[in-house]
Amino acid sequence: MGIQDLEIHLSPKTVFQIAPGIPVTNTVITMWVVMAILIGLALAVRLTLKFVPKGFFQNFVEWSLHGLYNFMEEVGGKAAKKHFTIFITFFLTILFSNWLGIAMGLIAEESGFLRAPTSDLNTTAAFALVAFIYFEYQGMKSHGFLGHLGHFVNLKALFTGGGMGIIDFFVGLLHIVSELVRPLALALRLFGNIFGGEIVLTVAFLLIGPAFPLPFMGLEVIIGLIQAFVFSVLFLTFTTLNTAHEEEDNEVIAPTKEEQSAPIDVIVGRAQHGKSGVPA
Amino acid sequence: MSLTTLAAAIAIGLGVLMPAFSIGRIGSKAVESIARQPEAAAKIQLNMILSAAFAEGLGIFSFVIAILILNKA
Repeated sequence: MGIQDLEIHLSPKTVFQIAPGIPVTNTVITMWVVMAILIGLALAVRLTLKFVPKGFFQNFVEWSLHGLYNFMEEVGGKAAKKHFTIFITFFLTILFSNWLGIAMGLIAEESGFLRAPTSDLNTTAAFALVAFIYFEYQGMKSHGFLGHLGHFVNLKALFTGGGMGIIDFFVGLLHIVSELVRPLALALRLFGNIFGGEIVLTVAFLLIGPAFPLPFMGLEVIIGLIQAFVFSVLFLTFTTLNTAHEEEDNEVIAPTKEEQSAPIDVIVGRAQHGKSGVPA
Repeated sequence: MSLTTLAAAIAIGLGVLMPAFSIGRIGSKAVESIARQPEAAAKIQLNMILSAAFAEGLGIFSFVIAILILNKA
């Protein structure tokens, strides 16, 4: 089997059809394997959950998830932590999809039954579409439906701005293009990296032979991790950008419970300086 | 030698020129910053990986176009 037999399939091979018109491709079958692994791991942690963790598995899961939870604050600020569930879902699904593509090896792929799920543009487009719907929904939830669309079609600036208002209006229209390119870029970046990695591995196997091309497999492992990470962090960044409030917090300065019995100069001091004047 | 092959080769060849250059610059600036302030090494490394992935993504776009050109004809 030499380099002349190399064929690159852009679209995945249909293995069977559930109903006429609904094909099941080899990437779908591998996605089922990924789902089984992820659900199995989740159940394994949940069913053996102890309040004081002992042993490696629960500690490892807690450490990694908690590390990512704290990392979200660096990326998006305090309000970003509430998107943790979808962030970690994207991260783990894409990570395991990428890594399973390498772990199966060439034999499983040549058999035609298995292929890395994210090397299929359908899968990555589905991820990007879900991400897009999510951060558009978050934008509309925090600014209101018309308020969110008002960032793009900036009629307020057009009517009340004067010269700069017209420029702001056109900048808003350009913003539509930049907004629509986000899911496209997310899908194509992930697809291109993993699909290109598959091609590299296939060619390396054909050229180097049965001895594993270990540097290439190591590169693919690292790329899989980085691409899952980049997808999730970009998703979090876009969500944070869409829900950013320009106005500052209107904090109500009222005496808290322990201050209601404090002397009057303490309460006045808090109202003036904006922080608690109750002595520790 | 068909025009399809030539088109795909030119697409991928010119397409990764600037991303390669920019990833090199990102890496060198990151290493310089770490040398200036080793305490911030973790943050700088994180941002470097992130920026390198963005720049690499643009090279991947041209790679996808080259594959599409090859497979369409």
